[in-house]
Amino acid sequence: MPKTGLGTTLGFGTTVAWSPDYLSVAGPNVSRGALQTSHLGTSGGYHTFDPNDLADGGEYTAEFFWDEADGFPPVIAAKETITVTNNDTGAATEAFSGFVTGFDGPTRTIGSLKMATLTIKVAGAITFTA
Amino acid sequence: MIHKTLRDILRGTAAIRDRVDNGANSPGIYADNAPRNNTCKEYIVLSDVSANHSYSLSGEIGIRETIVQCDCYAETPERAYTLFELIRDRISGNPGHADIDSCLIIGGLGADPTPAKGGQNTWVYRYSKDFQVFHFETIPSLGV
Repeated sequence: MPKTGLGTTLGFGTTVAWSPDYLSVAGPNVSRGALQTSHLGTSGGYHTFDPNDLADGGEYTAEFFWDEADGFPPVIAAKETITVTNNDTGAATEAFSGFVTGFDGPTRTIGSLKMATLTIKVAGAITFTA
Repeated sequence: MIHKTLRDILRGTAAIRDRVDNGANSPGIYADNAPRNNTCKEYIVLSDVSANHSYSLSGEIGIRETIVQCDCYAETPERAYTLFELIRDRISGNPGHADIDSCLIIGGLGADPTPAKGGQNTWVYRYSKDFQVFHFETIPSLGV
């Protein structure tokens, strides 16, 4: 049954001290190359492809409330195990080795809560546990 | 109930408390409703119009946005306006209260006040403005 995202968590395995109030966690955006195999003799009217051997785990993007009391994000931390825990009954997890590749700091303006965005690179396989 | 906090701030400001009705019916500053037997010639009423709670993926967080309507009543439009100006002088921006992050004037019926046609003195005039108040609240704790 589809649900909203309320209850989803994102946890850093090593830099556990940094734990802001997340608004959203998006991802991963996995991609896998397609190797074209068609040639001059290919028939059928379509190009043909084979999958690349390896996939790219892509990235997760997390938006969070910026609160100075949470400290500065782990923008130069080493690779570590990162786990996204979903809000389904079984609390399905997506665990991967990753590191921060981007931090868009908050826009400090009147009349709006401060928010920031973190981009996390997936550095290997994603282990999904239902 | 941030409008009650604003009421208390205004009541605690002598320049406003003593200005309302020249102090005759002090404090003359109310939350939600003025008394039924109100004999004030001037009074202020603060009302919560709407409130937006803020949420993260973990649930409700401890800051809320509330729209508070501030109505200043007086027997002349000029006095209603100048009464509001004292309020603006006290709470617009950062009122300096631990529970309030910011207090911004965002709109209202603050048109240029003019006397009723014919100069009749049978009306009570209202000068009304809305405040957008970001304030801190406790986080829900009874959930499972």
